[in-house]
Amino acid sequence: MDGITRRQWLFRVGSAALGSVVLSSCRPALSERRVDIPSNLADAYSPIGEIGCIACDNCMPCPYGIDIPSNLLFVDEARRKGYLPGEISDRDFAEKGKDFLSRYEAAIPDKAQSQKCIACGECLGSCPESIKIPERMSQITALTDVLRDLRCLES
Amino acid sequence: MTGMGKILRVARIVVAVIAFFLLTGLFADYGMTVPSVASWLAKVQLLPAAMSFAIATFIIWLIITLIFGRIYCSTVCPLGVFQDICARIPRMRRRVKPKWHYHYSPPLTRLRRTMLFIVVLSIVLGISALTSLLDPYSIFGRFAVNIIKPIWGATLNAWAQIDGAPQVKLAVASAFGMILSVVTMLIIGAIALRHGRTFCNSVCPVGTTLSFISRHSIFRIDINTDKCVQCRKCEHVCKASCIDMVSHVVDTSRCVVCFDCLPNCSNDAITYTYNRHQLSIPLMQKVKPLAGSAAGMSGSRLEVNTGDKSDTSARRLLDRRKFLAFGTLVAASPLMAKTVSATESVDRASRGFGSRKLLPVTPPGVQSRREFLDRCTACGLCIAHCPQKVLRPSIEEYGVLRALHPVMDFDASWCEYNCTRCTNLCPTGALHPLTVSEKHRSCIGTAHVDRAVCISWADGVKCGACARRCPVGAITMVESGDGVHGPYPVVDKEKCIGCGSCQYVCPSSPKAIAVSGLA
Repeated sequence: MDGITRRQWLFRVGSAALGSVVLSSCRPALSERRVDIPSNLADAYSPIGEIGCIACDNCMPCPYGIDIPSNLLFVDEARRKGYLPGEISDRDFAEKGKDFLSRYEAAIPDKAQSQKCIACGECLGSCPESIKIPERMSQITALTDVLRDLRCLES
Repeated sequence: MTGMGKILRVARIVVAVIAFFLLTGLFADYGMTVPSVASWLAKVQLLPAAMSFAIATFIIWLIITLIFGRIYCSTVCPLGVFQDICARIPRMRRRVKPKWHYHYSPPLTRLRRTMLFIVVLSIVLGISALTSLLDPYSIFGRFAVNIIKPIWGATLNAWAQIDGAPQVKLAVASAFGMILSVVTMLIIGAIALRHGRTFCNSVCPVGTTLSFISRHSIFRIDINTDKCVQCRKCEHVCKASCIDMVSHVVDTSRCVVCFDCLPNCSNDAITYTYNRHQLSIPLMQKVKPLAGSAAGMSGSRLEVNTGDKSDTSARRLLDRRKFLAFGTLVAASPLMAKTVSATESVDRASRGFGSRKLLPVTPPGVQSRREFLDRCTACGLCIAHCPQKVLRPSIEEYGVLRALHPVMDFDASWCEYNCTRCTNLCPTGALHPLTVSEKHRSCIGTAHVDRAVCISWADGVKCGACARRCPVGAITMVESGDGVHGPYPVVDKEKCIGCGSCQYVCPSSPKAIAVSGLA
């Protein structure tokens, strides 16, 4: 304890302990509790199948500002990385969903998210993989709707 | 007793630090971990309790204050603890430089009472901007939401970069709220740095309210004049500047019971006790105070008591000036009331929409717009935890005198159908708690359609997004049938709850469908 007073030690140890406690406890924690999803939303949702977007950007620009390739690629990437939620009845639906939603919201700006799709169909002819983009968009929207609901009900 | 004083002081600091961290976390947490355990801490704050008519909470605080003094101010008041932290910065070292010593100052009784009167008046008149500018909990809340929360979010994101956890979406604070809270906190922090708890004892309405009670508190800091050697150590650490070493009286109306003075006394002359010390030297008692400077030294303790009865000419002049200011304010109050009603009529006509005017939309759980505006103290807790980020602090939507209240911004997001979070968090009763099924039925506004700009009707684009997104099925697309125009949305006013989903998704610019709030 040379050159350092007891008070300084106390201060250092205390601040380090406090800092680590706060850091670990305030991270957005995954919800352990199971929550019921209102049936109106559960009915609209079905697990999203393989999309297979090749990021050619032929569908762009969307007249309503949606970033179509980002949305589609995000879902496929989520599946690859293992946080794409499956059936609502799955045990890990809530956990994966929370991960999915926070990543989705961080990756794609509000105005470019799927719920902005009005299903005008302008993108339909341009896709070389003949992906039914409006249908996919409404699938993604149904998923995020369920997940947003979960987030609200969690509190 | 020195040992006792040390224990009391450490206990006070521990409680204050825990409460401060929990309250900061209550606002700044991006999940719901802290709010789920600490939301009661917001509900026990004095002004929110008074606003929500939580009489029991209010009375419990008054009783605690009557017994122990203003413990509230030094433990659960977040702004009080913030001031203590600021005041601590230049006084960290063991031997504090004389420059940073506190000194006794006479109480600013007139100023405090005037400020309290103004706040009560503004609550009655509904000028809630003033209340929210002066309420300590709300000041701290806005600071936590606008400044601490974004910084905390950036820290979390930096952390997430390292360990690959999902990024949090930074709470986008309004520039107005940010600037205002920084300015307020800078002013209060700067005052605290030099003069300790001056804000609490001159401006704060909560402090003044409690001071009426703590003046008569049972337990109090007492100086034993038999032991006191006039070293002034206690006065030098008293951040409330309330220890008068001339008359050996601690002004309990200003004392925040921080116990800083107790361990500092080398003779155990200063104690926290329920019985007042009786002087053993008869000479010290019952001598008529002399006019002028030596008044206090020989004056009786009871007569000098709080120090505001000494009447030198300088003091009287000061009092007269304050009295004039007070009178002007009282005279100006009808004028203020007029301004309120004037802004009311202005804000009703604020935003045009087609041929209609739109009213600002309140959060869910309000009983009437008026009640909401009167009760809300603009602490920002609802804004901090809105998962949809649809709430933002108002600027002039409700009128300038009711700035900073939460308002729905449906161009930015929408109110989630099953979410009741803000209503359950609100500590002031401005938002009444809702269950999910109550939320489904609670109406916060009605959607209006401006057919002329609807891309479906005007341009024949296949849209109908509003009808698809409506959670209650209140919108139907009706064929125009004239062969020129496409289908257009029609709102069933009976079903519409004003959630704003339609306004958010509407692709038209300007929006062809928009929600107007409750009258």
